[in-house]
Amino acid sequence: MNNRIKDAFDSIHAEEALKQRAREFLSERIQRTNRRRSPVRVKLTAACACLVLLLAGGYSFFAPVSAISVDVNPSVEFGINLFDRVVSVVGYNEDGMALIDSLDLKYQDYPSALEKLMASDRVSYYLENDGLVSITVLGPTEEKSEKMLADLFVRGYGSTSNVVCHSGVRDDVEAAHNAGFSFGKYRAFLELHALDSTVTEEEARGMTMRQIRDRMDACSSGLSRGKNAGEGPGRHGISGSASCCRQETLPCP
Amino acid sequence: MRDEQEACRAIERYADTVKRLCIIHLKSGPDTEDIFQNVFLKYVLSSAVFESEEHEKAWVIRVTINECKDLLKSFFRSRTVPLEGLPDLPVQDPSGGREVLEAVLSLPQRYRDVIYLHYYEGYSAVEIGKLLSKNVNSIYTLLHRARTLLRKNLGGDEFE
Repeated sequence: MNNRIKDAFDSIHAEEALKQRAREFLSERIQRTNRRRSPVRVKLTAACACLVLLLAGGYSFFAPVSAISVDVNPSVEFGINLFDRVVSVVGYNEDGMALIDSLDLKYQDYPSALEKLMASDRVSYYLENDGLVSITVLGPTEEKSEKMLADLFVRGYGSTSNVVCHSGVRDDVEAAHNAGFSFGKYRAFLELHALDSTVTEEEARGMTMRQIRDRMDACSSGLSRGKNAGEGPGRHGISGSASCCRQETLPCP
Repeated sequence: MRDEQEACRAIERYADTVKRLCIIHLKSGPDTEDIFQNVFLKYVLSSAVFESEEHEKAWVIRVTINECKDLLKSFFRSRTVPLEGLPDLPVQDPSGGREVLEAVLSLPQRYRDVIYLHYYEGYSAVEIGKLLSKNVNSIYTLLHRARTLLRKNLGGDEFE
C-alpha cells in the first residue's frame, strides 16, 4: 500500500505550460534585475570620470605653467601653477639651495613667496650691500608674462635701482637649465656674452648679478672690467677685461 | 543571484516536487502557479550554497511549504473562498491513484506533509523533523495518526 501512495503522487507532474510560464517569468525577472544593475555601471563610469577629473585637477595643480627666477647671488627658480601657487622651488647655486632650505615657499601664492624670499636674511644682506636683485618672470603666454610683470611693479619691485624685473624667453629655459643657470641669470649671461664673448658660462655661474651688471656696464662704456669690479658682496673676484661692448644695460620694464 | 541557465535546471529538476507540495496545500490552480513562480524566484535570488543535490532539494521543499503556508495565512486568502474545489488531480487510473490521492488530500493539513515526505520522498521521521523544524516524536505521532486515518478511509492495513 505504501507503493500506492508513491504511485498516486507519481502521477502528478508539473505541466509543461506551467514550467514554461515559470521560465519566462524568471527570465524576465533576471533581465530586469540585470537592467536595474546597469545604474551601477553608470555609477562606476561616473566614478571613473570623477577620478580622471581629480587626476587631471591634481595634475593641473602640480604642473608648473609659469616661472619666476630670482637672482642675486642666490639663484632661485619658482615653478608656478595655473592657480598662481608655487609648486616647485629650485636653487641653481649653493647660495640658492641654502636659501630655499631655510624658507618654506611651496604652495604659497607667488607674490607671498616672493615677498618672503626678498625679506630673507640672505637676500636682505645683498640688498643692503649694493647687491642687485634680478627678477625674471616667464608666463605660459606673453600676456600672462606681462600681467605678472605688471603685478610685480604694483607690488613695488623694480621701483628701486637695485631690483630689476624682466620678462624671460621661453626658448632659453632648457638651455639655461642644461648649463646650470636659472633662466633669469642665463638671460643676463647671454646679454653679457653678447657684449663680451670671452665670458664663459662657468665664469658667469660664479658671478653675482651685480658683477654681471657691472661688467656689462663696463663693456658698454668701454672701460676695463677690472676697473669696475669693486667693493660689496657683488663686486669681488672679477678679472680680465671687456673685449666688446655693444648693448646698453638690462632693460627694466 | 543565479543565472537563467541555473533557473531552468532547477525548474526541470524540482517542478514536479513543487507541484506535488502545492497540491497537498492548495486547492486553486492560480495559487499553484504563484507558489511555483515564487519558489523558483527565491531560488534564483538566493545566495545559498548547496552542499549536495539532497541539500538543494530539501531547501526547495522547505521554501515551497513555507510559501504555501504564507499564502494560506494571507489576509486576502483568509477572507475569500476559492471558486475551485479540489485541484486538478490526475484522471482516474486503474491502480486507484486518484482515490489514494483524494484520501491523502482529505487528511488534516498537518498530516499531509509528513505522509508525502515519508511515503513519497522517502525521508525518515528524523529528517522530516529537521525539515519541518518539529520534534521527532511529534513526527512519529503525526505519521501514526495519518496512517490510522488513511487506513480508515481506504480500508486494509497496508499502511505500516
